[in-house]
Amino acid sequence: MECPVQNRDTASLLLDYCDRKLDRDLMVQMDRHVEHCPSCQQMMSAQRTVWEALDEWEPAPVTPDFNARLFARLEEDRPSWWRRLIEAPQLLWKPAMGMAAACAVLVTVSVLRTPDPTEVGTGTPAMAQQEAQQEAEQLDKTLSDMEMLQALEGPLAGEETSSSKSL
Amino acid sequence: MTASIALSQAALAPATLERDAELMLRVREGDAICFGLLVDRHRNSVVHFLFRMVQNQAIAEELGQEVFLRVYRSRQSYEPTAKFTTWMFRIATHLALNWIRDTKNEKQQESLDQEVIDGAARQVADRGPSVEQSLVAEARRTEVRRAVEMLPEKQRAAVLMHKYEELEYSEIAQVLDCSESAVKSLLFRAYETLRSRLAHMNSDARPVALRGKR
Repeated sequence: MECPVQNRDTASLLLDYCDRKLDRDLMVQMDRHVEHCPSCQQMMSAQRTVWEALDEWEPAPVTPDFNARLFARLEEDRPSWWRRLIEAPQLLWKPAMGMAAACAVLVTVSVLRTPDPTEVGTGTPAMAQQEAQQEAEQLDKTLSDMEMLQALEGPLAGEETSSSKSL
Repeated sequence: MTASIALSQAALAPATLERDAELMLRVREGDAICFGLLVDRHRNSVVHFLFRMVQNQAIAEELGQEVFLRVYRSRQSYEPTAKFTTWMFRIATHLALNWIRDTKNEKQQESLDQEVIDGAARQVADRGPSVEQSLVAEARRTEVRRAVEMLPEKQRAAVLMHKYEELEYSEIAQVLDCSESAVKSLLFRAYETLRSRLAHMNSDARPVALRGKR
């Protein structure tokens, strides 16, 4: 077996061998090779020293409020309800917004077209009835005026008739 | 959201055995509780990895939060095409490398200051074996820290993922966006450097209390 120390491409074999990660056949081959290879033995010893030194480097524990700070940042990151409403795909906001806009236009038009109730004119039935009543009153007045005129013209008309007859 | 997640985590945490991908798919559907479970499951490994990369606890936690924020923000587009941890460490490595590059000049000054502090610590008079042991242990940790810090960023990331997170070569390759052979090359050079710098720290030189670990 070629010495893995001499070949960079196979040097990882020695790393895996040190870490006991090779399959059984390769482990057996490496066992046989290392037993008689001073270079590999030296490298393995040095590598174990490195790993043991790295093991001694233990970091400090994570602070207890890590999660709380993270969730607080997530909460700040949360969009406003208005933005969520716009961006929520399941609400199909585009057609809903279109319908809402159409409704708003209809409401606006109907409000603008509604006549002023203080203005006189045809419109509601109550106004029509009021107008009819006013017309009737005017008609009555006109008829009474005519009767009065006829009453006044009556004696005069009679005098003219008699005078015409006497001639 | 905070109170509801905390209560739900307390109720569900011992019971869940679901894989990360399944939890993340639920997060994609809007399940914030599953996101809390993922945070609990991976918080320590992410922050510890970042600490060893940037060697500052406060920065490591800040970057760690950023990792989870990015995971949450991209939940809608999550697809379980790769391992969740691979994706997560890819984000973490990206953030760490960016931070290292952005603060390179400042870190050189901090390293000098740290040497002064460490030097002062070593000059403390002998007070007893336990103090000496802890000073020796601290000195060893400092040497390890410096040796790792002096590695190029990608070699450092590869070593940390290989040693502490026990990621496979293929996973490290996905995180670093390179080939497996490139990962092996990175690790070869990194460990070669560490062996030469830490060769004097063999087992026989360690205090008795520290031997036999691992």
